[in-house]
Amino acid sequence: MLIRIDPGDPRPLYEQIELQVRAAIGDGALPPGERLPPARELAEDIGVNVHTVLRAYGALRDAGLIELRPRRGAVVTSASPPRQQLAALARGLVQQAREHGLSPAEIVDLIAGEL
Amino acid sequence: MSEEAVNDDAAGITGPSGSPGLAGGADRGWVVALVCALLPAALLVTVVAVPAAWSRVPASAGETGVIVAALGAGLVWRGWDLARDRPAPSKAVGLISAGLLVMAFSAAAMIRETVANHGGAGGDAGVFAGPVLLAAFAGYLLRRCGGLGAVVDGSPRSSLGLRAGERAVWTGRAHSRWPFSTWILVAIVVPSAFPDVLHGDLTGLLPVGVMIVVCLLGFTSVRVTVAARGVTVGYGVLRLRLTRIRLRRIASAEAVEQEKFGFAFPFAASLLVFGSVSVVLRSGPALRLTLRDGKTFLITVDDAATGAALLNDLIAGAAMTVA
Repeated sequence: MLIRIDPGDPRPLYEQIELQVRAAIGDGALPPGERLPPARELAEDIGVNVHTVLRAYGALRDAGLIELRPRRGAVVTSASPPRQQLAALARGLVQQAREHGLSPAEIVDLIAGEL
Repeated sequence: MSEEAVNDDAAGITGPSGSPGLAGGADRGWVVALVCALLPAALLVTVVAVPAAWSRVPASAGETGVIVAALGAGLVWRGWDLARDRPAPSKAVGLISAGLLVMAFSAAAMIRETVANHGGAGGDAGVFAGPVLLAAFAGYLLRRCGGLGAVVDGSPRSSLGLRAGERAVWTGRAHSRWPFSTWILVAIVVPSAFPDVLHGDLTGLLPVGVMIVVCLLGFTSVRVTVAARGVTVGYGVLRLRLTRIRLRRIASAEAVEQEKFGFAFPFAASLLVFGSVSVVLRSGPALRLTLRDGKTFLITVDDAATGAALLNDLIAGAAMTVA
């Protein structure tokens, strides 16, 4: 699992961590039962505050993707929807948007508005 | 000695001031190999000269057999070390075959002694010929396969393209594919070498049990972390961090492919004197580090290409900072 932190990215640091862990769980790099690095260790490795990592882990726990156990740390509990499912959802969205007469540019704008 | 230096020493990677480089290590390795070869040879002369006397020296035969087997294992290790980085090394295959032969001979002697002590039929020819043929066959297979655990396909120096100010950490893991079968085999074979166990005295099983538990907990999986401070390896389910290599000590990293037979042993670490370390849990992708003092560290780990690329970026970034 690779985690990159870009200080120039407008997204908050905890969100960058959260999204990359999510992606790793989604593509199977982190299977259920796998332990995440301890928050303190990960914070030291990427040079952020430990509370930043804990906040990311908290968001993942709230999403039901990991479990925070007192002595075992963060453990992956379930896999997030695989990317193939997201691609199928996107195809369905595009098809419905075309049926409603939206142009490709309008579809992109629609999605960008949600980001 | 600092904690880090201790950790590096535990991995067989000592600082430039602490030990000789690769060439010096290789020389010392040959001395060890020579001793390993001469001692069992001397002992085997006794075995061959007075084979019938085995049953008359029961107090020492078992211990001698274990020592001979250990020395045979030393030969195998030396051959393994030679074979790792060179294709089809006849010298390595010879050493490994000789080591297996010595180990097989020792095992045969112990089996024979055990059988004799229980009043069984001699069957000397069968007991000795079987392991000898087995060792010869193993040597033949190794020769046909072109070496033991050779690495191939080193990728060109890669990069993740980290931008200035960007930070990253990579974690990879690897599991041994044969841990339980291997150690169960050890549990069956090793006690049979101790006649006391066959007499119902199970105290001989205690060290074997401890060894199996330690190996299962400690050496059936690894977790490798690459970060700005360097490379850290956690072993087993307890993730014992026995290996830490500072970034400034690493010259370059590359992803290689650990060939077949790399999984023959669940944990393979060459001796300190050989000047390089291999942690081989399976065949497949592996991360190979070349240190600034010429030594190498190889560890099998999934997605080693990403780890190597990140490490090269970190090394380049550190070099720019120093400059």
